[in-house]
Amino acid sequence: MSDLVLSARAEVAQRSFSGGRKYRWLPFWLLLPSLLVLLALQVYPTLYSIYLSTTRVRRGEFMHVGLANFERLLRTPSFLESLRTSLAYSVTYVLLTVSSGMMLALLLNRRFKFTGFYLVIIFIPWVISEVVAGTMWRWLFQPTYGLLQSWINMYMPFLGDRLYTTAGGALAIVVAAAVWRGLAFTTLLSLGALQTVPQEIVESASLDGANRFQRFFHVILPLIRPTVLVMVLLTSIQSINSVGLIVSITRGGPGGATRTAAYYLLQVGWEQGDFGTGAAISVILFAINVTLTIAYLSIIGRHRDW
Amino acid sequence: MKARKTVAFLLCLALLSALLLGAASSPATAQSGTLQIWTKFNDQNPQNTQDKWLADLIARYRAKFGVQIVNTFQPFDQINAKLNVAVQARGEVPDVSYVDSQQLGFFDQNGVLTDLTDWVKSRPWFDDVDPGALAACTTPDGKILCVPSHTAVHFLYYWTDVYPDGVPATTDAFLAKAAELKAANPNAFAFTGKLAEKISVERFYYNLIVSYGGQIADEKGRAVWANEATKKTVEFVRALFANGYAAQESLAPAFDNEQPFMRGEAGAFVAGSYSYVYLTPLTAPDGTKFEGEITGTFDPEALSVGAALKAGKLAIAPQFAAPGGKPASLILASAWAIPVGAKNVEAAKAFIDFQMTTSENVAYSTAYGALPALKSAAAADEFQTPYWVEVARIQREFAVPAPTFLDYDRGITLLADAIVKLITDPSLDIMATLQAAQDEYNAGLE
Amino acid sequence: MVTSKLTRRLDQISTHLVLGLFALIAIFPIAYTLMTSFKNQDEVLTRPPTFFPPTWRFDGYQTVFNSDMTRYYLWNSLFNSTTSSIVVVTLASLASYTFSRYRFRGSRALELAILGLMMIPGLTNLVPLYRIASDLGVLRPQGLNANLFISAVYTAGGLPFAIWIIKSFFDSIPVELEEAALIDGCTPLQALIRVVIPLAAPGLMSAFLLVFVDTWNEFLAALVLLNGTARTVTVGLYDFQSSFEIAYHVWTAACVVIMLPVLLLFVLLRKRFFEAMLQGALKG
Repeated sequence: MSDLVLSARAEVAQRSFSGGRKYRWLPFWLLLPSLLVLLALQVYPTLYSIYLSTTRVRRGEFMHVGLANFERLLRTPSFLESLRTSLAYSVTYVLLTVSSGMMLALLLNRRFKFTGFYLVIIFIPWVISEVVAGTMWRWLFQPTYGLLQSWINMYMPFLGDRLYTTAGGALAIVVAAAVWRGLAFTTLLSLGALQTVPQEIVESASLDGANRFQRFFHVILPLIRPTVLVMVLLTSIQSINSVGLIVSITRGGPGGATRTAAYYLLQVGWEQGDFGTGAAISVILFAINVTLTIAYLSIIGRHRDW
Repeated sequence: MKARKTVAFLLCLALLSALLLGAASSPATAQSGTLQIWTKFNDQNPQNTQDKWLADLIARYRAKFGVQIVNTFQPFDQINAKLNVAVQARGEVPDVSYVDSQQLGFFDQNGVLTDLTDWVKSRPWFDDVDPGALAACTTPDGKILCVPSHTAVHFLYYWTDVYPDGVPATTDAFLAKAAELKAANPNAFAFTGKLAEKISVERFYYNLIVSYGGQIADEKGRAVWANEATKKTVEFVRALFANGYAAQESLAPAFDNEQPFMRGEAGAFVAGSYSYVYLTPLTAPDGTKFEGEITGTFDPEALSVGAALKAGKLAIAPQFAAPGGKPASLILASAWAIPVGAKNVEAAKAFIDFQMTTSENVAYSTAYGALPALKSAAAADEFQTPYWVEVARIQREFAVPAPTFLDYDRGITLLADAIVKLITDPSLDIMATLQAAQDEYNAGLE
Repeated sequence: MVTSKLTRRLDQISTHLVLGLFALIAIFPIAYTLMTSFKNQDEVLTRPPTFFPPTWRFDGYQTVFNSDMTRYYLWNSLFNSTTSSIVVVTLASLASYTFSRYRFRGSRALELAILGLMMIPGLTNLVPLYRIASDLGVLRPQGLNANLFISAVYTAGGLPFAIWIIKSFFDSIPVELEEAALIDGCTPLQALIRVVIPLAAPGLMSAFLLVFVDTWNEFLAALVLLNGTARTVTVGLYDFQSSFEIAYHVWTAACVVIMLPVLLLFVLLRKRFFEAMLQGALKG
């Protein structure tokens, strides 16, 4: 660590911080505890998982199989199906949470009375755990005794009388519960971004005769685009990795209709005890996350001037 | 300044060690006089007769042998998986664990359980064990990996208000009767049961497939379920759902499927003898209520099912079979096993020996709600009531062993998912879907 | 003028309608859960279902308060959440101070790398963490060990985000204040503790709350790493669900008991929550 060279962020700081050579090592000591914890409980397990993905246990014997787990997975129809389910789940979730979050933020940003109150109410689902939220939604759509299902039967029969136990219906319930929980996050982020938009720009646009939609799409949206991208990135990663709602609402059913890749990992890698294959799936999920982030960073990077 | 740095460093280390290393300074060594067991029963906070039984057993065992049993409560749907993980991670495994015998192939595949063949054969109680129960603990190549305590089969509970002449014995007759019932009361269901998720195969589909003359696994552990018998089973179940004869709860996760029966809205319900313990409160279709307690000691008539049976409102029958076929019911044994890596094998064996005495076997089986694995225990008075006599008859005449999948859970999950897909999407081709699932299972065996 | 006043009024009404509708949707499942928790088994399973309980009963709560939920799980969750959030805030403050005030070769890369750790799906690490726990011998439910270990896991999980948030708070504190303290004879560490941390207290509080709530709600690691009486509220609820006894009034009562602590925290300290999320996502 002898190459640790201090350079303060500002000239003022330089005077105070590089002054004492005796504190040369201070930043290192400050970082050390965090780094140790992260290395031990984040980095090491991940590397270990990557190693595990190249192993398999058959007939009680531990074997090194190279990339065979990956090859087999990519030939396994139920895994490919779970990837498609993940895609459908994530895309609908991201579209719905980001768009309705922005809409709510626009309304809240008009600062009528009670907006603070609305924000608090809309935010409440976010602090409720996925398992608890899942239990609530599951109970609302219970086929015979569920309140929402019985209302649907009475007032909106075109939606179907057995949502919870049909493939599309079950997925819709899971997505609805996820949006319900995730909406707070995108609303708050959008609101934060909207409040950085200078009021004069919007006003001058409206003086130029732009209507509300034109103002939003041509003036406001370009200004808050970085935030929109952050929201899309974070909600995508969230939806790809989360299993809590699926665990508590459908357990992947009916017939695997709501089994996302993350839930598939839980089922294969944990319940069925196939650690090698489970680890391989987790590596694939990790790769998807990294790809998304790199794509995001490259978009952001290309438009530094934002 | 050196001192300060050292202090800072030591502080960091202290923080970490408090979290990590300090956590490890536990008395992890096996003390003599204690026995670590895993069960799906909660002795610390008994919620039903099974939990109560374990709490009593632990007290009894300590009084008699001076050995403290330390029980770790594992939920029933996680205990087999957690045992596997514990053994594979070479971590802390219990000395004895509860296991479900149908998971034997899974345990064998992953090398989780100690081979007990020679020891079991040398025991005084060996000749007293019911052959069917022992078979459930024996792998296809003859290894005995667990010691069965009791066995359960699945059959129909039904309301006599709905089926005064009993449940029709064949699938065709059942559909006809169901149509009649639906016409009389569109809100009522002829049937409910666990028809989704992996355990539906154990409880329902496998039995029906066997009664249609089919099989789902061959002797090499490969899947063979893409056959006529499975196809006929799917067609029957599709008819149940398409016409609203079966409650939608049958396809829901967990055990929502019990509700329509407990409310008297479904006439028949497929379940195991152990459901005796859980089904409470019950409301008969005519409104009669049975509100038993599920905690406390086991007293059949204090439980709702017992009271309803006695009142003649509830009855049991073998599951319906293929026209001209014979009913079938997968036999499940609850068993004790010693995981690989157990520290206290001798104490574990002593515990199993104690469990295999007649009186202990009776106590466990009544509390659990299953037929004892010891013939001498099955002859006890407790099992001479009409209910248990009928259960014993169903097991004697219709029991079939669990399918011999190498990857047991993966096999039954794939089959259950394929069937549920065929139910929820009636446009799918039955044979093609079954074949695809079968190919996937077999391809994964390599 | 009249028309514009009218449109403004209409505007206001429609805004309130839409916002009110969303607020209703947000609150409805929670309200129904609350209502269900005051029914008994018979009143839960009625056709058609009713919203309000016909009579207010406490059967569900009675069961929950006699179960392991209140006996063990709540306390375990409280322990885990408190421990991990305190440790996270402490460690993250130190680390963020370095990132905020010092530059050294690779410091920016290190900061990004730590942020990048947030991308690791929680699922990825489960089996390795189980192995580590098993090697350390902390899987037995007896004693605090299992919960200490999982608190450490949660600490590692919460650190990256907390470092990000706290750093952005530190960045906004003028460095002149520390300089003054240094001139007065403070060491840099004293300057951090006596000057910077008090000024950044709201930021630390925000990080504390986020980690607390995340830990309270965490499910997967708890499912895998905890056994028996060492389990937490979320896993405990899952066990209620998967057990044979189907009783929605009990589940919903358990749901209420589980969400009440975090709900109260949120309502009382909502500003800090909003701040934390805005800081975390928009700056940095």
